[in-house]
Amino acid sequence: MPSLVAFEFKKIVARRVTHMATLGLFVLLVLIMALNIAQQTATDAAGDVVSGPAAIALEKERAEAHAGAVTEERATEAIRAYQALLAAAEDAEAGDAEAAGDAGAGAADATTDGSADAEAAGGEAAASGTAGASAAGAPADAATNDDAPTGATANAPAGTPDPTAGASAAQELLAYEADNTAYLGLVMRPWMTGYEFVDSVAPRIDASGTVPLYAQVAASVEAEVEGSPGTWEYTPAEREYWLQKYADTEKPAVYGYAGGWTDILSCIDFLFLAIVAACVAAAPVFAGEYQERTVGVILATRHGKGRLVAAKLAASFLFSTCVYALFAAVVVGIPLAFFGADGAQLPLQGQRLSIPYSATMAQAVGICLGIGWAITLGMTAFALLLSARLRSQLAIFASCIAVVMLPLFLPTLPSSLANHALQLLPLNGLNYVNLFSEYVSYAAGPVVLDLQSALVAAYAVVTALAVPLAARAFRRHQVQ
Amino acid sequence: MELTLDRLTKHFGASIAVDRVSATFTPGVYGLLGANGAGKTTLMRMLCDVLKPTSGSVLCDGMDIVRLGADYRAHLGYLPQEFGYYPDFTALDFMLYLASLKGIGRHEARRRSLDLLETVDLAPVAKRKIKTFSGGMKQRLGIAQAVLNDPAILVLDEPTAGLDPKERVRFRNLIASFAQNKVVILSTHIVSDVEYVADRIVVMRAGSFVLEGSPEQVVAQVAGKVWECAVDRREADALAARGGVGNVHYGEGAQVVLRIVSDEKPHPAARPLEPTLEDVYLYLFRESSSSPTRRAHAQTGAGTRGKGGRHA
Repeated sequence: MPSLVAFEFKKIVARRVTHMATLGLFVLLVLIMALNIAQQTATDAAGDVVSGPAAIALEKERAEAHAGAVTEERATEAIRAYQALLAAAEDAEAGDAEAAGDAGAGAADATTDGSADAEAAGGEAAASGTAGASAAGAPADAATNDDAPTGATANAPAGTPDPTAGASAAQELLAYEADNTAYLGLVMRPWMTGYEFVDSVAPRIDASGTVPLYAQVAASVEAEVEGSPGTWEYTPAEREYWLQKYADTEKPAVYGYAGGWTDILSCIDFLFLAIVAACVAAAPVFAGEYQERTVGVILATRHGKGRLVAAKLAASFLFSTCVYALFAAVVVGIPLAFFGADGAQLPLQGQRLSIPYSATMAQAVGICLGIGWAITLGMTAFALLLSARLRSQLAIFASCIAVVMLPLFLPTLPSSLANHALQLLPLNGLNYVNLFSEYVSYAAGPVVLDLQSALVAAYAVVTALAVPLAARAFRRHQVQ
Repeated sequence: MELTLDRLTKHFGASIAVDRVSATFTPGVYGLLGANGAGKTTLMRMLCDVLKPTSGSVLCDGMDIVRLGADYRAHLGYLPQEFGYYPDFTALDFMLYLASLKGIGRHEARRRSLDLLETVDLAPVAKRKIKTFSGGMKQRLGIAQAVLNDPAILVLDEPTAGLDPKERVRFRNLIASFAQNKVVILSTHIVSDVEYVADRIVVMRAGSFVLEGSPEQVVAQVAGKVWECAVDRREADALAARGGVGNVHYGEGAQVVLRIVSDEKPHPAARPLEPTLEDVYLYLFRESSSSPTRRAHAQTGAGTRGKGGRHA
C-alpha cells in the first residue's frame, strides 16, 4: 500500500498541469505577500509617509505605546484627549475662516488707507488665540496621561494672539491621529454605526465622566444579534448563544502590538490559492485514467478496485495537505518575518472588543489554518468525486473554481438562508472577519453551531460523502 | 484453470455487442478472430471484469468472476486494445507500478520487471520515459506488464495493432513463450497473428461465436472452396463483384491472378487450392468485405502491379 500511495503521489506531481498550476499559484502568493509588506504605510510625526519595514516599525512603536489593559478609564482618557484636539482644530479652522474673511475686507480697505495687513494679521492672531484657549481648556487628565497629545498643554495662553496656533492645532491633531488611530478605533468602535471614521464618532461620545466602554460593546453585540430581517436572521437560541459567548470573554481586553498575527489574519483568505491548486491536482486523479485509457489495465489488476482507489485518495489528500502547508507557510512566514511574532498571546479582543471568542492571536491563526485545511480537504474530496464521474478535467476544474470563487460574485442575497449557505463557501470560510468578528451561526432547534464549527462540520460531511462516492464511481467504472 | 462463458450478453442501448455467448476455455492459446465491430473487445472487457455484462456470467473454475473479484484478477493479465500509459513514467516505473497493483512484493517486482523488460528487449531503455517510446516499444511494454504476475489467464486484445511485420513476428514469439499452461485469449482481426500460435480458433461475428475448433478443424471448413484462377481484368471485376475474392495478383500483361473462396467453382479455369485460415476468415466475412480488385485498381492504377494484403 505505501508503494501504491507513493506511485499515485508521483503521478499527481508528475503532471505538467499540476506543476504549472501549483508553481504559478505559489509564485502569485509570494508576490502578494511581498507586496503586502512593501505596501505597508504610516505617517510619521513629521507628516512624512514611510512604507515597508519602516512603516511596520513605526506602527509597532505606536501600538506598544498603548500596550496594556483596555480599561474604561484609559479609553476615556484617550477619547477625551482626542475630542479636545478635534475641538481645537475645529476652532482653529473657524478662526482661520473668520480671519480670511477679515483679510478680504482688509484688502479692500487697503486700497484706501493701507492698513489691511495689520487688520488681517490681527484677525488671524485672534483666531489662533481662540484655538489655543480651546486646546488649553481640555480636561486636565487629558493633559497628564500618556495618550494625551503632547502639544495640548503647550499652546499660548487664552487670549494671546499666536499667528501659528491654527496650523499647529491641525498638525497636532494629525500627529495624534497618526499615532493613535488604531487604538482610538478600538475604543470608539462600539459607538460606530456602519463604517465611520474616528473623527466623526468622537464628538458623539459623552466623555464627561468615565465612558461606559464595555456596556457600549455589550449593547452593540445585542444590536448585532437582532439581525437584519430578510438578509440575516437569528433564532432566540442563536441570540442567547452569542450573548453568552460574548459575556464569557475576559474583560478588560488587553491591547498591544501583534502586527504579524494581525497581518496573517488579514491575508489568510489568500489561502484560497492553495485550494485551487489542490483542485487542479485532484481533477485528473480518476478522470486522467479515463482520458489516458489506462483505466482498463489498472482496473483489471488485483488491487485495481480496492487498494488502488484508497491509494489514489490518500495520495490526493497528501498532496493537498502538502500544498496547503507550503502555501500556509508563506502566508504565516512572511508576515512573521517582517512584523515579528510579538503579541501571540494577546487576546483577539485587542483587535475588536466585540469579538465573542476567547482566543489569543496565535490561536486565532491556528483556528483559521485548521479551518482552511478542512476546506482544502473537502474541496479535494469534491474534486475527486467529480473526477471519478466526469471525463473532462476542464469541467471538473471549472466546477471547483465556481464553488471557490462564488462569494466574489454573490456577496449577499436577499435571503437569510442563502446568505447562511454562502458563508460556507471556501472564500467566505477563509475570511477571518467572518470567522471571528461576525456573528455567523446555524441553528437547528436548540443546537447552535458557529461558523467555525459549521465549516468544519460541512467540509467533514462533504469529505465523508464524496470520498466513498468517488471510490464507488471508480470501482464501478465501465470501460467502453 | 477453466474459464466459462455462460450466455454472456452485452447490449449498448438497442445495439447488441455480445449475444448470449457460451464457451469454455482451458489452458491453451485461443485466437479470437472477427471483423471490427464483431464484439471481440466487448467480450474481452467482460472477461477482464472491467465491463459489466447485461446478462450471463463469466465463471472461473465454476465461480462468478464478479464474486471472486480481486482473487480472480490476481490470476489475470490484460493488454487492452488501446493501451494507455503514463507518459512521465519510465518503463521500469510503469512495471513496478503495475507490479504493485498486482500485489507483487517490492523485491520480486523489481526482479520480475527487469527480467521481463529484458525479455521484451526494453532493458536498455528501462529508465527512459514511455513518452519517448515508439508504438512497437509501447506494445512490448504492454505485453510485459500483462504477464508480470505470471497470470493463469492472459487476455490480449488486438495486441499487434500498429506494429510492423517484424514487430508482429517478435510479438507472436513472445506470446508463444509466455503461453504455457495458461489460458491465453488473443483477439485480432489479423489472421496471421494467430495462425501460427493459436491452439484453438474462435471466430466471432455480430456478437456471436460462429466457428470454433483447432486451426486444422477450422481450416477444414473451407476445404474444396478455395480456388485460384488467372483471368483478364474485365473478368476479374466480374468475379470480384460476386464476392469471396482474396488475394489479387497483377501478373504480366493483362492477366490477373485471383484467389477466390467460393462454394462453387468460380471460373472454368479455376483450380482448387489448399485452404488457409485467412480463407476461412474471408469465407465467413465475405458479405461484409468490399471488392479487393476494385480497391486494388483504385490504389495502384491500371497496368501496375499490386498484391492483396493479409488483413482481413
